Amino acid sequence: MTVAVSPANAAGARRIDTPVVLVAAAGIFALVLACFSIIDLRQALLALVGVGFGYVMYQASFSFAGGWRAAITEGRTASIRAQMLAIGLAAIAIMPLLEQGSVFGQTLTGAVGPIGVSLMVGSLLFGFGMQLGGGCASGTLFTVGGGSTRMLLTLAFFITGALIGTAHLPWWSAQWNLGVVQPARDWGVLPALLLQLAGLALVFVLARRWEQRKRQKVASILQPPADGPALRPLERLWRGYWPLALASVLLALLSVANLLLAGQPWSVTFAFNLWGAKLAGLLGIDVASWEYWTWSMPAQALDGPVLAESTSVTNFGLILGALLAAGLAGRFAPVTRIPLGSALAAIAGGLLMGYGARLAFGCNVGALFSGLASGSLHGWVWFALAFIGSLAGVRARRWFGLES
Amino acid sequence: MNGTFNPARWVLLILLLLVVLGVVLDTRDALEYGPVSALRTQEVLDEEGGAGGFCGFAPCGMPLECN
Repeated sequence: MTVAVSPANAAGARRIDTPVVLVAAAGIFALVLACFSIIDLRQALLALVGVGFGYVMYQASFSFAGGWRAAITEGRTASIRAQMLAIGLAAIAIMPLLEQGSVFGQTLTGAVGPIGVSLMVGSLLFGFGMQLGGGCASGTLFTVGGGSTRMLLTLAFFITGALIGTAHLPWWSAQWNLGVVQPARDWGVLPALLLQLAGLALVFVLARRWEQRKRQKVASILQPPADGPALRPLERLWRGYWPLALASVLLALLSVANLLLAGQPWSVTFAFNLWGAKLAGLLGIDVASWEYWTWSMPAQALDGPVLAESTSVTNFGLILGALLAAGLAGRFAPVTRIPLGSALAAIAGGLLMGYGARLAFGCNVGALFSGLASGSLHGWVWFALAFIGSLAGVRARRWFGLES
Repeated sequence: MNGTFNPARWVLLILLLLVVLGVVLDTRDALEYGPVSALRTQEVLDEEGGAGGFCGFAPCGMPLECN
């Protein structure tokens, strides 16, 4: 991932950036208070879950796009192994919960999607775009929170691409598809969960072997990154450089909390549709007449405030959590100058990711992380095709003068 | 960056304030029509406007048929 505030570049002795911490703390307080007073306690807790996502991802540099690129170009697979661990841990809790149907009076719905042309085209586009954009959906948000101005550009065009995707999704979703495939429905939750864990373990082992072959040694995900400064364990709480395995455990716990509070697993890009539609409305574009925005949930979301919609709340929290982490770690250092090639890559990547995420029924979070944790087969198809798209995307980075 | 002027920090602060303003206005508009409830608590509506036509939504918001 292209992170302007990469922990690997940070010197050992950075001070807490007090103004940034104060702005982040004020923002978190305002968000939680607004959600609690206007919506309900669950929404306020969801905001805090979002803060947790952002804080953990930033402090551990937990990335999908950068992790996949490191595996492709350098044979470093720690991020991929950490992703598999996080998804596996989340699946252990989420699949049985989904089987129950409801918990604490909240109906639970999995992150499922049909397997078909729309998913295949969308995931290929997303994988390609995330290498140009320099981050996936969650990565874009947490690096924006961490102060990356380039990723603001990616985010703006991610939202634009997602909105365009909503104009075309009804057509794409009417093309050939197998429907939703959830092995748990036919075989029961335990065999399906074991099969899911076996698949994740297989990817983990293959990634480990790939690193051994390419680098003759394997970096442990249990240890802090080797290129970080020496820090006391407690100091790492705010200075970062967390072991990836710790982030995996925390992200799995947060994703379960997300499911219990929101009734749906962690998701990011539905909010981008909504933000894009609201902004388009301000420009006089009649989005409400588009077929997608006449469907039940999108129509209701468009009618209401963004604070009533779960993914918007967790996304706001995620950005603020990353901002807080960057301030505490003393690594909030935005730059204004973005090379033209890099800016063009951010624009193209953002558009492709937004459009691709819509067609693919989610991004690296909604389709990959939550799709696999929900036991939906579309998550595996998304994974395979987005990875192929990433292989092409890594090569395409050279067109824009970016390093592979 | 402590103690040094960085225009990018101010640009980001202004952007953050604009987002806050947008959310405040969006929420105020919604509150004009009465109390607001979370989207997750609202009934799923089918094409005719009746309740319970679908069995949930894909993460993109696409309604999923019950079968």
